[in-house]
Amino acid sequence: METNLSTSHSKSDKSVSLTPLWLFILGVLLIETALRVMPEGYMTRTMQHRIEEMRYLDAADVQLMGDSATTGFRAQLIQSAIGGTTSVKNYAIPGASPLFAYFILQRQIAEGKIPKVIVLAPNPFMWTNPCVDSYLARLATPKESYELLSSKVSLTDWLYGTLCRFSYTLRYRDELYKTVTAGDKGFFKTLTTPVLSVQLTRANTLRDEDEPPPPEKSLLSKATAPPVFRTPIKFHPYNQIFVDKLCTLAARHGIKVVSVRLPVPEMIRRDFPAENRFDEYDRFMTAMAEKHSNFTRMDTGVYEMPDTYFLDPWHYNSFGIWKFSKLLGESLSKSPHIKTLGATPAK
Amino acid sequence: MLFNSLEFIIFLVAVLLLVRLGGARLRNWLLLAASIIFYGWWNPIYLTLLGVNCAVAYYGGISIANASTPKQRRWICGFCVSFFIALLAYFKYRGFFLNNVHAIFAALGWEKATKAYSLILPVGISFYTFQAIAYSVDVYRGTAKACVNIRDFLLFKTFFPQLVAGPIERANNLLPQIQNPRAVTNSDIIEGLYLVLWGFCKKVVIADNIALKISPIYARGEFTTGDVILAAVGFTFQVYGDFSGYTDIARGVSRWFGVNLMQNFNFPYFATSPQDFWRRWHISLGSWLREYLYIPLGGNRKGSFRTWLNLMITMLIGGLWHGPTWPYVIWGAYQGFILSIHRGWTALRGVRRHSHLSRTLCIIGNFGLTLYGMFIFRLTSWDQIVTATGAIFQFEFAPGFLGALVRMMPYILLIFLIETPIFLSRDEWFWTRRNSVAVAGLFLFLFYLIIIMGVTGGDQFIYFAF
Repeated sequence: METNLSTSHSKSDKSVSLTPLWLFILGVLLIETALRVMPEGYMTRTMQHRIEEMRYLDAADVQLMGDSATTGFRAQLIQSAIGGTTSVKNYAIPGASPLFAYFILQRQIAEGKIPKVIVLAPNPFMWTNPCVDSYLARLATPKESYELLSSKVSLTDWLYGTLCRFSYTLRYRDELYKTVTAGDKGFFKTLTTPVLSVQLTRANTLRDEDEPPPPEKSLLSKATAPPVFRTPIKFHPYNQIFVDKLCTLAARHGIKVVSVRLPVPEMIRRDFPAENRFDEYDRFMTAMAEKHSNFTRMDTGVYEMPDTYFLDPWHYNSFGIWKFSKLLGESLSKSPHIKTLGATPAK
Repeated sequence: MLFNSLEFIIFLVAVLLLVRLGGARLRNWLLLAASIIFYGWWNPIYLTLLGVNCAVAYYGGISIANASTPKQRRWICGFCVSFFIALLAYFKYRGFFLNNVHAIFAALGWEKATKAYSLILPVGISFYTFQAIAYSVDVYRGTAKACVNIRDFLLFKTFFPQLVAGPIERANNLLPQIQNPRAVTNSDIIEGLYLVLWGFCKKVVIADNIALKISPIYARGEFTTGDVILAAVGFTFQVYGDFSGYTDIARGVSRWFGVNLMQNFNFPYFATSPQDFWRRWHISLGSWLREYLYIPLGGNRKGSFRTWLNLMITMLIGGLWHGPTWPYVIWGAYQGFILSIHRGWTALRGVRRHSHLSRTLCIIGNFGLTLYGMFIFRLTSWDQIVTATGAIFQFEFAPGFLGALVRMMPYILLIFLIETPIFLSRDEWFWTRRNSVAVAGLFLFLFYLIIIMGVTGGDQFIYFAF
């Protein structure tokens, strides 16, 4: 058999038409248009729903902001720990990075829903990831999109996020990848999962007597820990830029920003020892406190919790949520920012 | 700038638009500017070295062409080649050489502490150095004309699709295309799109997904027989997807500028012998080694011992070209060894026509040799090679072995699905010659495979490191 491969072009170029190219482009447009009728995933709908709620619900005195780890905290428990007439709402958004808080506050201010204190309490490891693509793909208005581009967000990150906005397959490529490679059909189940509303969440209705029993066994394992746990926390510049902007915006409207470091599972220190894991965290918080008079770093005194308090390395189980909600409430009640609201400190 | 990055796609779209708008007069200037930006994107300092290389090649080429005597021509050519080799040796092999000298001294007890030397390796240095050597030698031999137009020469040397990982283009293929007026035809657009989509698919879908499965095995460094099979099969197809994917993207992108780069892969895993393999795998390097090293050394014209020696020298240098580490040298020696054995066997047996059965058996046998070759190519030390080779004969299989092998198969089968019809029809454009709907369907299939199955933030191309 001959080994040579014919690589010569089509003899007469007239015989080659560009029809396949046009059909291909048309096909992509048709597929993406057709996919627009598909429901969005749980995370996207929850993000969009909660942001809308924040725009029309009355602002609380104290507003919790963060990611899915924060979403579980019981606003009612925090409120009762603070005491007095201080109202607390949990406006954390699953899948959000610290960057999101700036845009959310901007939208609230535009609607006149201005909180007095923002408690910024994302999972400490979320500072490493700005989720710019996620914000652009799911939430950004044209004005916000422009602001992102003009705030040192790289053109490639911006373009990728914007493309995700228009393409369903690109937006859910991670989920679809898991479905195809690991048979994980979780994504399709999330298409019908009800959203986690700010108003309907159990966070507002739990009482002291509802304390869950402490779990006996840890569900965490070293093997499944995400790579981000293995190295010191590195603050992503986009998160730094937008939290800086958040403080400036908050200051203009008399809002205080209280930063809280959420406790992480003990296994992180035990299994992935790193002396300087929180060095950058501390540096950034100190710099922000020096730069913005309305910014305070609040110390709960608890930086780790037993592994049994966690559902997975990122999220607390109901017992962990309970414990930290109470602790957070007690710490907040002693905070000078909260005291100025007229709260009665918890005993 | 990596091909598998969004910034490259933005860059490419911008360059295509500018070149289209610029017209024929500005085309080469714009492409040259784009190539400089493309290369400088990694580190602008690398441009200095590339510039020096280009300057020596350019003036060297003109001096060779203008030399009045053959002796003068030989001297100038010798100077240019030595200069290119010295530059490559300094930047790529200096650390390797010094580390080994220190290790020998330490072993002899002459030195207590060894110092690790390393220099930053400029991207694509091996590729553009070999291209420069080929140019000087071709001008010396009279098989290529020295290029006087500096713009065209610089574009020949730096044309961005082939700059960092080849194909190692020869002057008589690429230069005339740059120098002469060229038009982008419909077939350039359609066949280019096919090459780009299939190239991306091979890289981000096939190579990067297989890499996710086998990298932990190599990282562990301890092997059972099952691990060796998984690692060898996986890497054999990973490296093919990675490198031939890169080449396809490079060729496809070039077609959009009306340039036809040489073919670099021709179904290497269907080769019937080690010699046949080197005619099909990394063709531009294989032919370079043959034309500029093996034949000048005497090739097979000076008896069987010299033939064997020439083969070994050629393949050892071929191995070392990939990187300054002992496993690459061992890989080169292995290639030289199996080529020599095959040559000896052919001499003994004589050249015979293959029956279908013997052809199939030869393909299977040669593929076995390739698997082992690729396996040691990926290992990082002599100890690993010895341990892993020993593990082959332990016949130990971890419980998850079969499952892991099956999970790798869809990626491997995808290569066969797309490339077998091309192999059987001996027509690279088998797919683009189908009717428009079928071609568009294939494009859509590949496009969505890339979107959904492509690994985000995957590894850079393996051959970028060489």
